[in-house]
Amino acid sequence: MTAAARPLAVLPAHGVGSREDLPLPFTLLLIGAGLALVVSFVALGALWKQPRLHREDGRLLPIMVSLALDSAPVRALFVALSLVITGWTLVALVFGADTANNPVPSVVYVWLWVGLAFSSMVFGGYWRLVNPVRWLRRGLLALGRIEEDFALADYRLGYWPAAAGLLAFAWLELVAPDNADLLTLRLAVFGYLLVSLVLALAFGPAYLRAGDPFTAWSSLYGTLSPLGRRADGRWVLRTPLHGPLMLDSRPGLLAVTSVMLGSTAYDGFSGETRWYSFVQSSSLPAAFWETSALVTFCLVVAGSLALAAVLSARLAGVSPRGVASAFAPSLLPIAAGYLIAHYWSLWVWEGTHGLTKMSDPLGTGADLLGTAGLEAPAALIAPGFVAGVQVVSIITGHVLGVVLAHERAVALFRRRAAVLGQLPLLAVMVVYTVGGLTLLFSS
Amino acid sequence: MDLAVGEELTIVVTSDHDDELHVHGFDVEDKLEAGVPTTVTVTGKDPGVYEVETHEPPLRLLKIAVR
Repeated sequence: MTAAARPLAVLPAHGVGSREDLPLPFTLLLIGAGLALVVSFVALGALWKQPRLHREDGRLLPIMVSLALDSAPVRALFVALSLVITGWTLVALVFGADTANNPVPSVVYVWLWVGLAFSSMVFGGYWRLVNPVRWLRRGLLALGRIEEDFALADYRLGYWPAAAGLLAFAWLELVAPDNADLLTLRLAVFGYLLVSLVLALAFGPAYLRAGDPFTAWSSLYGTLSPLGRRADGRWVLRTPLHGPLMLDSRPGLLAVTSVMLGSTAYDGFSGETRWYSFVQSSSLPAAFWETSALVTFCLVVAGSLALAAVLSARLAGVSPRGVASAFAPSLLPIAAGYLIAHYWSLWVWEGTHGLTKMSDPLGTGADLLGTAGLEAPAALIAPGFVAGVQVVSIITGHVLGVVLAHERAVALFRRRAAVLGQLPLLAVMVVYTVGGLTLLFSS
Repeated sequence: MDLAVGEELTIVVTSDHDDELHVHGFDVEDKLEAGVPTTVTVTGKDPGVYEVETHEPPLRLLKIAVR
C-alpha cells in the first residue's frame, strides 16, 4: 500500500498538537523587545514611590451577585458539572477505544492544562472548589462517618507538592513517549488520583488548598483574574496586580512559579529545529536530553530570579532572606503571558476537537452531545491574529510583572534604595520577555 | 519547507527499515517498506506549521509551514 491517505478515524492515537503556529514575524519581535525595554525603564523612573496597592482595594460586586457566588446551590452546580465531566472522561479512559478519536488526551493535556489556566485567569482560581479529589475525599470520609477536617498530620509542605506535580505533568505532556496512549494515560490519571487521595486523607484540607498541583495551577493563575476576594473576604472587581500581591509566602512559591514559567518556555524551545536535530542524532536517548532540558529551564528561572532578588536586596541594603519568595509573584503575569502566547491556538484548535471527541467517548460513532461536527473558528487561529495575540500577551505579562516587582520593591526597600534595588529584577524580566519572543520567532 | 495555501507538495521517503510515515495536520499516514521509496502528496490548506515524522523510532523529518 503506497501513497494512500487513510482517514483520521482509523489512525492510532497520536497525542495533541498536530498543528503549530507560524513563526512570529521579525518586525513584531523587534517591536515587542523594544517595548519591553522602554516600559521597564519608564516604569522605574515614573511609577509611584510609596506602596499603593492594598489588600482592601476593589469595587464591590452587587450584593445579589456576591450572594449567588457564595450560595450552596450555585456552588453545588459547578461541583456537579465538574464531577460529570470527570466521570465522562474516566469512562472514555477505561472503556474507550485507543484511537486518535478518544477524547482523553485532549481533556487531560488541553482542557486540564491550558483550559484550566485560561479560565482561571478570567474567573479566578475555581479548581479548589470543583477539584474531584476534594469530593472523593469527602465521599470517603462520609462513608466512614469521619469528620470533615480529619487529618493524620500537620501540613507544612506549602507549594512543594504542587511544584513537583506540575513538573511531572509537564514531563508527561512534553517528554514522555506514547503519552497519548490509553495505557499511559490510565497509569497517569489513576496514579494521580490515588496519590492525591492518600495525601489529602493524610494531611486534610490544608493539602488540597496549596499542595494539589491543579489547585495551585488554577489559584496562582487565578490571582490575575479581575474577580477576587479582598482582605475581608467580600467579592470585588480589581486589577490583575492585587491578587498576586495577596499571595502568602508559603514554602515552595518560587519553585511552583518557576515550574509554571520554565515548562512553557521549554515547550517553546523544544520545537527549535537545531535542538531536536541534536537530540535525534545523539547516541543517548531523546528522553534523557528532553528531561534534562525541561528541568534545566525550571532551575534557570528559579535561579535567575533568586540571584536577582539577592542582588537587589544587597543593592538596597536589606537582608536577602525571603526576598526571592517576595518577588516570586511577579513571575505569574510573565508566565501567563508565555502560556497565552504559546497555547492560544492549541486551545482553540485542540480544545474544540476535544469537545467533538467528547461526543463519542467510546469510539462507537455516537454523537451524544451533538458536537461531532464542531469546527475550530478559523478567525481565532488566523496567522496574523495569532501573532498579535502572542505579542500583546507577552508584553502585557511583562508590564504587569514589572509593575508588581516595583510595588514589592517600594514596600520592601527604603525609598532611596528602591530604584537601584529594582535594576537586577528588571534585567531578568527583560531577558525572560525577549527570550520568550525569540522562542516564538525562531521555532 | 514553505508551502502556499492551495499549493501541492510531494514528499518521497525511503527508509532503511519498515516504518510508518505520518504527516501531521494533513491526516496522512503511510507504511514505509525498507528500501522502497514512498510518495505522499499533500495540499496546503490551513495556515500553520506541521511536522512530518516516522514512528519506529519517533523521528522528525521536516516541518511544513503553510502560509
